[in-house]
Amino acid sequence: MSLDSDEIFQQITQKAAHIAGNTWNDMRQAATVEFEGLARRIVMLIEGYRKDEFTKSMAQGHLANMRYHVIATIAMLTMMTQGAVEKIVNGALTVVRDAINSAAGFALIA
Amino acid sequence: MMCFVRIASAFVLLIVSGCTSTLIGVPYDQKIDDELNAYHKSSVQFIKSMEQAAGTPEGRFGNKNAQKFYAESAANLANIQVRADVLSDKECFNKPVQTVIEKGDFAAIDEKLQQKQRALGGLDSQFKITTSPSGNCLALMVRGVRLAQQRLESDHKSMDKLTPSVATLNQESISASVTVALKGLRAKKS
Repeated sequence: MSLDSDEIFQQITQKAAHIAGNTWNDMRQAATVEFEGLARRIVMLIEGYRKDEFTKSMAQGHLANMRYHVIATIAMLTMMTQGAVEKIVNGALTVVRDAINSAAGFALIA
Repeated sequence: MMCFVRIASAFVLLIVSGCTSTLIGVPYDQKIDDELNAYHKSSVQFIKSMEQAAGTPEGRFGNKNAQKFYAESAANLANIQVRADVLSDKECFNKPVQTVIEKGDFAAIDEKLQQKQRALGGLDSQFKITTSPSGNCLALMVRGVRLAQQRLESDHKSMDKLTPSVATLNQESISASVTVALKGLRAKKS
């Protein structure tokens, strides 16, 4: 059985584009939710401080944690990107596995 | 163009090697997923009960139930941290990025906060946990959960009660930190 490189290329790119598109939407949504939440908590903190429910020291501690949360959010987006790359590489190989194995005559891709 | 060539080369290498499972950085870990869920549930219950009991002996920081929750949570989260730390030795951010974060105003604010804490009579428990951006991505996010937990403990200790605003802000901070960790972790679930 002969292999069509154009067909393999099309299958791989379609699969990759599909995974990347879904992941990008997930990342955009996740980042938006986190930063909206962060903005809401900053307002909550200032209002609480004005009502004397938070001391200055408590407010500063929360602010420090909020800053760290931005770093944690970037770490989350990094992991989502890594997960997408893993799925693209693994998915791209899976989608052409049967055709390649059939052409090779043995299980080249397990 | 170079990027495309690199990706194409990676595909070729993978096909030639017969490898069908690629992993970058931290793998998915079911135990951490479960433990973070369990911690989140217990924190929601605890904060709600302390808010309702605010102003009564049951709502005080020194209360037996409160002390039990803080001790158990600290131990559980420390265990999760260790597990996350050893899952991968791949740094989430490369050294130049870490340097930018450490040398930026983030580090300056940290130092200023510590100075203020010393002036107030000592560092609170929050500063037992490093705010360094080093480590793998999951370890970094779990550190965020621990910081949120220690902030709750510190607030409770300062005011000896959890008023509605303090309770809500801490609950939202803990939920956000757990959510971020779980979303990152579950992105690696195949």
